[in-house]
Amino acid sequence: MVDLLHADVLGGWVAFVLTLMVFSYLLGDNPLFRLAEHLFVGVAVGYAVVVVWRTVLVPRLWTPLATDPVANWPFLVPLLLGLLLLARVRARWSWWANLPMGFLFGVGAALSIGGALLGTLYPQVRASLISLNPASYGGQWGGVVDAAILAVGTLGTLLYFYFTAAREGRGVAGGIRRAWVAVGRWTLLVAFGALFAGATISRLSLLIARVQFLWNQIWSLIP
Amino acid sequence: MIYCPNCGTANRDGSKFCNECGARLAAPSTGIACPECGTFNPVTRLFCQKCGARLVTVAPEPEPEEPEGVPVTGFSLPSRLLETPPEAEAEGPAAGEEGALIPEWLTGLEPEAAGEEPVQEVPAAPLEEEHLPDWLRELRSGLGAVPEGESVEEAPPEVPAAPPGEGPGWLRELRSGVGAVPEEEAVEEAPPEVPAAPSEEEGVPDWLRKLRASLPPLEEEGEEVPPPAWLTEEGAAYPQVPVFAEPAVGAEGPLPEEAPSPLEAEAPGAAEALPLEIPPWLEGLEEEAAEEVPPPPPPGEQVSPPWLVGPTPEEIRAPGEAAEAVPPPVEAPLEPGRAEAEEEEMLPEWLRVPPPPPAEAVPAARVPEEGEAVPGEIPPWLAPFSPLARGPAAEGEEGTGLLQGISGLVPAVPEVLEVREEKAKGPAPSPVGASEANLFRQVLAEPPPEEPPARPKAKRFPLWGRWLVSLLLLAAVGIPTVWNGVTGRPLLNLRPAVPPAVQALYAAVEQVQPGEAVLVGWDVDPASAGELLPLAEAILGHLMQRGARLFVVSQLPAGPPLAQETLDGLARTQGVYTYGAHYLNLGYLPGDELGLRALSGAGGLAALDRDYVQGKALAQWEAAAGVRGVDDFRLIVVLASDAQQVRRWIEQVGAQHGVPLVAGVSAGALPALQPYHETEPRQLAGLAGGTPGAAAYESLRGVYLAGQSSMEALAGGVLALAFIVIVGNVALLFGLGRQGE
Repeated sequence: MVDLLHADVLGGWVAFVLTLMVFSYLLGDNPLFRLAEHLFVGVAVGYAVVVVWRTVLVPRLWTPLATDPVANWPFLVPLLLGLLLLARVRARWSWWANLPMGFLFGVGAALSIGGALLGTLYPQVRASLISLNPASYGGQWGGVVDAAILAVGTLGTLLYFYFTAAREGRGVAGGIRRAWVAVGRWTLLVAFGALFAGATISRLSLLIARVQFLWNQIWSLIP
Repeated sequence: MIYCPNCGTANRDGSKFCNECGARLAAPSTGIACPECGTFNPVTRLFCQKCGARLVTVAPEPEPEEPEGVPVTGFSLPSRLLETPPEAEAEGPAAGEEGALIPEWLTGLEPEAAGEEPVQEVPAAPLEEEHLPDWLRELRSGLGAVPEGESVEEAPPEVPAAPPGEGPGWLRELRSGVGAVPEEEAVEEAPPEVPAAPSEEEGVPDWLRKLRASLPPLEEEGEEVPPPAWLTEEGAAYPQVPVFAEPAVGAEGPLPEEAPSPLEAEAPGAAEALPLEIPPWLEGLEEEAAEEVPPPPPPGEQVSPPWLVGPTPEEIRAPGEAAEAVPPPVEAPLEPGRAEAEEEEMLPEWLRVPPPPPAEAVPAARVPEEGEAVPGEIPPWLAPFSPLARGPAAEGEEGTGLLQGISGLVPAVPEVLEVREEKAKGPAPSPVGASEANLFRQVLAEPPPEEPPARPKAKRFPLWGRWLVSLLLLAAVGIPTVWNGVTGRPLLNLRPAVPPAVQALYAAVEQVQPGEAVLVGWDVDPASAGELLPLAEAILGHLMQRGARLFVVSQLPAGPPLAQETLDGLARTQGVYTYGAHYLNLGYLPGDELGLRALSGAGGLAALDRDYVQGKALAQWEAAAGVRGVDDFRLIVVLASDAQQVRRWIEQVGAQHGVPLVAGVSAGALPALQPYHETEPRQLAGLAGGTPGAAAYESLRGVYLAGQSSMEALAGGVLALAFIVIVGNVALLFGLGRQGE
């Protein structure tokens, strides 16, 4: 029986070596990086299979059917649908797998649409109907400016994606429309920039975590 | 349907490639090539199954000069291997005269030597009835429809009695019987009705069985020679070569439809042929024929062999007299090695795809080599049907195409052809179109312009540059980390800014009273743990500090063990905070939206009725007391690295219940989720993102944990990235990166 402490220590050093193998990609593609990559994918998939078998299939499907199949006969329906998914292994039988896939996609799409309407679309549209009256912000013009920027940016973004109307125009109206479309385009660029910055911060955080892990492993060797 | 030989997928008729795997589908072995598009069609089709063009543009029309009522729609030239003895060729005109009466393949049966070994029989490939061409079946049926009662006085001299020891067994037996019993007597003693033949002789014609039954047993031979295989086998085992037997007028009983040739040569190999031997009994026939050579026919008169001409009225006896034995029908010999030929070869010559025209005309006097296939001779009476005749095209005879040489055909419908031509040609081009077409021709005629020199490829970022960037970034991140790890205190003592969303999150947690249940959506896996664990430790530690009962559920398979490890670590720092009494791990919840809807539905926690650690029912745990559904929770905390995961919780759980929902997400998902915190009422009561959010939350709590300890490293990394971006843009501005352009 391996001591848990020893297992943790061993696992920590295995992770240390694998981390260095991944960092070896800085030297170019090499077998060490490939080995670590394949190990990560294989272990992740294998672990997911074990978790699904242990926490889903056995306790929530096999056990009810094995203990009282008459009372738990509805569990046969998901079992049958799950078995039909295995028909993907042969091309001539693969269309049988369309039944459970259609069921899953249909129910999932219905729930997604319903949830998006009530949870995202309606609240967000309602939140965009803001007032520009300073009284609504307690007399602070900062709130008014903030609301104005939000309104102009939202409408400009909508105009930018309004492809059916001519963006070019003459006169004052055409100039305003072109300017508004430009504002919408820059609003999109700012939003994308914020997303990119967030992703960069996220990856930097992951790098920091790995560097801290490596240092802690090395520091643990120092008496 | 055509089934793919590779994957078995059923494809439409006419498909060339499999719709599933793309493998080439087997083309039909026989068919009629469409004159329009070249598609092979089954021989039973009149129109092309691809373009609809008419495959056979003619219909059979009875000719008035047709002597027989048998419709002959085509004729397949029999082919055989002919090995003509040099002696026979040297005969010259005599053989030619005889060939006018007898086909050449019969004239080639000259006796070579009486002592030679008889030719062995070759059982030809079985010929099924459906494989026969229509014209052959009709011809056979026509031959069998000869009226009964008519008889011939004498058997044609082409089938004389053969001396013993020559020819196949059945022929020797027949010959011996004929020699022992006078013909008239034998025929008169023949029973009027032919008894049922034994099963093993079903393939023997009735007239032969009758004759054999009337003959005495073979006594001259030392041992009985079994009949040839083609005679004892079923009728389907007959050779495939069409047989043109003489209509045996007057023969009693059904006429033999076909019979194998007794002179078939056995093929020792696929392309090797044995010479056709002439038994000695045919020598006598030749001598008799030489004595009774008829006078040469007048010029212009068509001469047919006597056996084909049939009996004259004087030769016809009165009804009731016994009929003479009908000679065995003569069959054209098979080509050796062609027994396993493809099905396509069964088609008549005129139905096959015409071969390309020969470059040079083959000399007519060329002597065929041994083993070479040569076309058989056509009797004169069949000459009008020969498609190979190259005389001036008669009226109604096809001059070109696949049906070249076939006469008596209905001409093609001109309207259809004209319409198709009109469609193919299209309207006359306008002047503008004609000028554009000319311009297009000129462009095509011009030589292609010389290609510009290949653009030099842009230089890749050098490896040393990659290392420089990596080392710079590693130093910016590593130095604060090492400093913090060695000294235990921050390098620059940066104080993080606290956004309002984080303050709202902190306030929401502060409102949780001891003992209240809090549902934690743990959508954190090892891939995102480096960023989210500091935030999770900050929030969950705060909740534990508040004495909340935590229920953790994850929609990622790798989430539950990581959550358990984190909770156990936090519980150890909180003192009296144990699993089962203060927190529970509900494990993995599959199904994304479906799982969350099941959790927030009427069933509530019934979707997660057992814990992850010990697999016990939730009712057995102290922490689960009084908690049945989502409404029983005081707060919902979602920890996720993806904005979509938080959005699912908002849409499927938060929008369905009035439970406040807060989220701790990665920095990349923060901008996409910020609008949910800006709504009124707030869909996200609080929001914190990434390491900055963790540091801000820790600062609100007044603790220095992983979030704040990582902020200096994060700041260093951001500064390094900004430096790299600025230097890169400056380099690009001065043309350093444009070397390859």
